Amino acid sequence: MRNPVSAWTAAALVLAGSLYVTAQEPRPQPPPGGRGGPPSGLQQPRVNAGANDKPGVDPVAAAEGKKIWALECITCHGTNARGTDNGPNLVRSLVVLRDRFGSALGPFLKRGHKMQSGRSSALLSDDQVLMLAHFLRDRVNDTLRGSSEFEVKNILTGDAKAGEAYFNTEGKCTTCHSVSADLRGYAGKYEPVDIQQRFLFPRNATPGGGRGRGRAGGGAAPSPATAITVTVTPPNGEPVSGVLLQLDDFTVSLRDASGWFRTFTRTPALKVTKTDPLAAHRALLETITDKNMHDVVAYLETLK
Amino acid sequence: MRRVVFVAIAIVSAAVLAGGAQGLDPAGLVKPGTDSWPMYNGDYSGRRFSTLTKINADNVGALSLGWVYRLNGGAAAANVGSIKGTPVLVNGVLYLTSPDHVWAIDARTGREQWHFGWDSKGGTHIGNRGVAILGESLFFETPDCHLVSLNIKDGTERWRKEICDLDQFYYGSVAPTIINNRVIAGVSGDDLDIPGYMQAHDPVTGEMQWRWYAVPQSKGDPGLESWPNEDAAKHGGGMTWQPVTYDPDLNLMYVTTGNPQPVIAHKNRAGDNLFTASIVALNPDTGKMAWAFQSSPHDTHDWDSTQTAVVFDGEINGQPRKLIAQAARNGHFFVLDRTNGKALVSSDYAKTNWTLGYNDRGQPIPNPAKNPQVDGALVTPNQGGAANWPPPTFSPQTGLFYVNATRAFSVYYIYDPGDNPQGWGGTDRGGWGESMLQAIDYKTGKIRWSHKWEGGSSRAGLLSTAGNLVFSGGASNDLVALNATTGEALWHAGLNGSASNGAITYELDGKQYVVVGAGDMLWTFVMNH
Repeated sequence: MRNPVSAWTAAALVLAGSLYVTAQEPRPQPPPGGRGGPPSGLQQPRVNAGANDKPGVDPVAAAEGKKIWALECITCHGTNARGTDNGPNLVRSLVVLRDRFGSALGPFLKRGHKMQSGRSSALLSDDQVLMLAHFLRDRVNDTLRGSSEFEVKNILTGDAKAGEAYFNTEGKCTTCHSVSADLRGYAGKYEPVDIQQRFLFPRNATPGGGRGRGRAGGGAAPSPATAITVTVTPPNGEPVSGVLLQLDDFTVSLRDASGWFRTFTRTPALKVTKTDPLAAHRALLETITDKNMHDVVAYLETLK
Repeated sequence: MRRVVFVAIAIVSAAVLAGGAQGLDPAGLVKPGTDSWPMYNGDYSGRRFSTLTKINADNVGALSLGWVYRLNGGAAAANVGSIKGTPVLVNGVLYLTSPDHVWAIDARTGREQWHFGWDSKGGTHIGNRGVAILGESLFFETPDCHLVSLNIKDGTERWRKEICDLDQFYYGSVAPTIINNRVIAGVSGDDLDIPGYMQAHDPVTGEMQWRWYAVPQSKGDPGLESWPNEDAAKHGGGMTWQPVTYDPDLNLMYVTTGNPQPVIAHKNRAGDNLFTASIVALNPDTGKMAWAFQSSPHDTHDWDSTQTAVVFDGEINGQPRKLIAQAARNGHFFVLDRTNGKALVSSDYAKTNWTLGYNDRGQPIPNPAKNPQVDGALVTPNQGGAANWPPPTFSPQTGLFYVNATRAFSVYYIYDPGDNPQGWGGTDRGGWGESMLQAIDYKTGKIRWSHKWEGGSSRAGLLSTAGNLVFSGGASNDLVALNATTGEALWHAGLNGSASNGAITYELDGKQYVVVGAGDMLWTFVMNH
């Protein structure tokens, strides 16, 4: 009777064997200053750090490693390999961090390490060690920015009633917004975290956006309705207005309603008036409390 | 007999390093001439102040282009990164870096003399702050964790030493500093939970002489009481991202340390987390700590305190004092007695919302409600901080400490609410911000003048001169000269992008130069008449 993971193991061994050989061979030299690249076909963390030859993760192998982990390791080293009172944190282990597909983990385990079943780790096969190596590298990668664990959790902790009251009174939101007009069905368009980000930082919001955990920040072009405008009045001329393009101590540039790009040299006699349609949102940051913020999100989330 | 041999070797080594006509004599580090900029900050003080006056508030309007050098246009391969460090000027040659690259450039003409490219094995290539020079040798760090020495004459390699572990996601980016015939080098990295440290190397052999860890590594180490356990402390961060400053009279160097790890989710590191986010005075010959001041106790916002700690002498309450000042990333400005680390002035230079005031040691008291939360906490400054790595400047002429400050809000989230987070475990999102150049009266911590960058933001590094000028990158992809006394913008010149370092100045053949980097281009401005 073959081991139930043998079919995968055969494939995994071929894969691992090729990778290991690759790691032992002289790597193609990147150009001076180049980064080189990780072994292809494996998942790498989004963080662009560490050695060029740091091991990627085969999710299938990692899943198989997780089974071995549950049988032999989890009691002492914990679900995520971060250690317990009975065993050390392996995410911070130098053996794990310096491992390349079992190159360091294998010799360590071959020395004999009592596992939770009572067996010696020396009995683990090479492919089982390889699976554990993938599982452990995956746990290391969990801790990095950009990992699948690196996501906003539940932020719907506010009081919708209190949020409604703030919206209608202290927050002065009704000065510009209406739940029966521009905000009608608002909650159906955005995830709660996007609602939170959009009402706090509307200038960063992607026009249109959409439900799907999009990020409010991200450098999208402002919509015309919310663009900062400027009116420039020369000492002996007519005022010129348009969307502000650049403003510093020396010049001011705008695009006027007819589409012309205009630049003026700033002088004491040149009057420059800037208008930000989102100024109320900016001002809100100075006064809003975290409770207000959570309550407003809870309220806006009711606007299905 | 052994001692005699050692002394003989030391004498020979010193003679070799003292260099010939083209080298940098160690005395040039203590009292640099105006024809040099021999280290990252121009001198040991970190003031970035020049006594040059040929370019001044009265004539700066006539400043014009000298020459431009493009990293990608020389002998190096394309895509060699951008200039995020400060060039060092020795004997008419500028030594400039980007990750894995060093250039020697004629300071009068912008002509490339040589280029050195490093064959990289990885590491974070986000930036390189520059080189240190002693004698005819140059020292720099690589992203794949090496300290490398080159001959300044031709860029050939002298030696290489591994200074950190790439597998722990350390990397090298710091400009080393030469102190007492030692190469002082810090390390970078904040992805995994690893300790920061500073170490000294022999400039002749490259051998390590001592290492100082920013966080406790074993029982009995100072600061261990500020961590819940030894393991948390050993992995507690405190990276040494920046070049040190130094007081030769006190023989103390001032190390600025990074934020604790895990960065945002902090449940498993209760306590102040010494000596992260601190200014630490070390003896450069032994690496032993003299004192420390922590500007962000138990930081939870990625606010390292690696901003330059600037050394100067002044008066506080009418009494002459040896001072050191820092505009920290957390939005607060500190003036300390640099003999003992006692805070004399604490103030905010960009309005913040995360503190409950100052304690009796002058440290901000964090408001627990403004720690990152699972459902978010609205905080200012944002993760980028009120200031970041770009250097400030201090003018002894005006008595003002200048820093480009950013006031930005963002929401900090905990992504890993468990009891044992690792790495980051959260971050901030979104943001609104404005930036301004703040001129701070060091005696009071009050803002003397504030110049807002109206059309955008600027985090550029700064230079001040006895010509009553402050040079800064502006918000319009330009270099701006302001009146150091009033903040009035007097002159600007367009660049190819935002200024990406702090400007420097020097005088050669009677002509004063101002040099600044923007992306992959180095710009030089002079009086052309």
